[in-house]
Amino acid sequence: MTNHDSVDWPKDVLGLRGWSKERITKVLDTAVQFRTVSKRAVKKVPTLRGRTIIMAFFENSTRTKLSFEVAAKRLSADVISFSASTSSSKKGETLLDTAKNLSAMSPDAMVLRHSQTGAPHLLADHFSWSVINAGDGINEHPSQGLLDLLTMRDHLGDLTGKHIAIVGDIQHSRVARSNIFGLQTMGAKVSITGPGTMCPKRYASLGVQVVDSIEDILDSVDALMMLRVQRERLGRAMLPSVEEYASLYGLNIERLSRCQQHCLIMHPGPINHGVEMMPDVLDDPRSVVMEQVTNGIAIRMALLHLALAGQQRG
Amino acid sequence: MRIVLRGGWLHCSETKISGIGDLWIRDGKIEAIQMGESQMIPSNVNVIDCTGKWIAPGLVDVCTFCGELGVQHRETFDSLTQAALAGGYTDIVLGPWGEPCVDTPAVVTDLLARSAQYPIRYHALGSLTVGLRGVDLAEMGLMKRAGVIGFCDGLSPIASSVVLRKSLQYAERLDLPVFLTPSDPDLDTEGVMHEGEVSTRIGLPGIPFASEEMSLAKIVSLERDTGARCCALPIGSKDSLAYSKVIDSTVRIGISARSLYLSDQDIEDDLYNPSLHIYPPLRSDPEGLRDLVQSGQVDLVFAHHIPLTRVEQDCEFSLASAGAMGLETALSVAHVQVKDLSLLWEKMCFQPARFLGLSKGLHVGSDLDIVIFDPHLEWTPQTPFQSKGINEPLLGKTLMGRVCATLTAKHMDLDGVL
Repeated sequence: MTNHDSVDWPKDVLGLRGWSKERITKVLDTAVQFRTVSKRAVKKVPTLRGRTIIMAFFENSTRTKLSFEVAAKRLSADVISFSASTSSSKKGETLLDTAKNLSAMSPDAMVLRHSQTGAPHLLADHFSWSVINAGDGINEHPSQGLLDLLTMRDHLGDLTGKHIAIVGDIQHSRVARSNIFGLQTMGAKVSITGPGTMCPKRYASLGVQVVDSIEDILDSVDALMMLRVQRERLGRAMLPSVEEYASLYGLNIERLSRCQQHCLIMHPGPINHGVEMMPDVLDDPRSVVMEQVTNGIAIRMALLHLALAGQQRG
Repeated sequence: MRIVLRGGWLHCSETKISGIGDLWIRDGKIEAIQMGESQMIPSNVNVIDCTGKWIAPGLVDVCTFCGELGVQHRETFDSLTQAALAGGYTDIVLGPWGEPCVDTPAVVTDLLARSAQYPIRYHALGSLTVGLRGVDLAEMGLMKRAGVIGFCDGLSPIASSVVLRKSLQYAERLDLPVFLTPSDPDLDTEGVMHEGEVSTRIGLPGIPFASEEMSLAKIVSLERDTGARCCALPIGSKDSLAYSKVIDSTVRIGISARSLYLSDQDIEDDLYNPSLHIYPPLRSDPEGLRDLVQSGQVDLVFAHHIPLTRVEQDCEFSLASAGAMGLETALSVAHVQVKDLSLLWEKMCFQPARFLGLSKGLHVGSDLDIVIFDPHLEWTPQTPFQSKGINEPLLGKTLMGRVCATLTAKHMDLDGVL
């Protein structure tokens, strides 16, 4: 295992844009170590005993929130959770005011999910405790990006030169953006495709290849990441119908048969069965969707550990 | 009291004055203008050495925000007047914002009556439509009678082409100018900054350039169709003028002073700073806009002054109210990019005055209305500001050139040049 002691660690985990390969590798390697914890009979280590972590989810979330909670509890941290429906934001309190009140309770870190791009950056600028971005607007979802990188590294090894495709609503996907930034840093080649309303050509400015059709990349990709189609976007002239989307961009057995034997099938969840992925695709041995979920806990344990261990040293 | 401003560069394109000279002041009026070498000055005259400084008529700002009507926490006439004086402005043409907004003659009368006591001149623009909602025509004729000098969509572009056309037809008959926002509300709905490489990198929803380009084309067509006198502002990119050039349009073009210096890149450099949440958005073309000013294709450079307080700014970028302060920095920031002060004075004083029918100029015997500007003074905008706002996007930037004094018949504060 590489020694990562010299790799600097930021106060906050806001996004993968601008992160070095060394820092990403540090997280992935740390996650690998923590992965063993979840396989033990007693799934708990005392790493963060006595530390308080607030899970502030201003947007609906099931798997990310649960994953962070499980991760924090397996590190023995004290976890306080609240969601938008129970918070003062419903009464008109601003994010900063809410955070000031929470800060008065002396937390060590906050895991924040928010509908607005830059919300975690705002709190990071105002408070001394660590902010872990669990998804901000359409901007980034760094822990998802990292768990995807770990899953890909597990199967594909060094990602340098690997061809990864992301399919779907790139424009509104923080998962896509964190993956794009992370994958490029790790040396992978990234292609994106989707309807013009969801995958604009200007994304080429990020250094990715914008491909018109999923058919053009099937035989060359090492991993296919299918994004969830948000049905609520249908009413905004984004898509004519889910049927058309499924036909043009959905991953079915026929398309899967044209992928390489080692090509990973990934999805950040939750899946719209029959839209972006046909149900039988999930049964294919190349699908690593559940591994992504498992790796999510290890990655989040690593992030919390690195964020708070740094504080301790400080 | 007699004062002579000695040895400054006097400039006024209206009276064809341009050169070193002395400007004599007596009892709040210009007593004399003497070009060339200074003559003997009697000992009872207060001499102010203005060597190296620029002396010209006070600037004119258009579509300025004042919160006097119901939003006094953001700006009052007291604070706005001080901000204007700090920035070199002596004529402020108020936009129609407020609670209530300026859409009836009663509100116009009230606003102008409240403004009369201040040492600079205030003018009012009326809303084209009731409540700035873009649906029903406001009482433009009665507002003209009450004293408005033009009309405005209030930075809420009128979505309906039918309503926009009819409002311009109506304004044309009243022979008053109209200020319109070149942006398409339909395309702008989800965006909070210029859509481009930067918005793609930092994950903020964008407003496409097409919004500006096509709405300017619509304004150009409707001006030709209706004969109304229109000014489209603020333009964010040189490229949006393509169509208006093709048909040799007479639509006046305005830009905000800060857009000569700031661009969407600043939102990445000063990540998610809500002071940079501005509508229409900062685009990527400060150099192109500078070319437009220098080639005479821009008619107005305005401050685009929209002060906001912590209540509207201490939040996530997208949720922050759009707008930025500008009165106190506009001339300096424009001067950073456009060194030619006579050109800047055309865009920030004489041309807006002509468009609006305001009198400007260094006339002997007229009420004092001048700015003394030091083009060599380097400074950095810092809090507190004269304005009540906190949203100055140029905070901490180094600017070149600063207003030393703004003098009017009712305001003779010379501290800045003593």
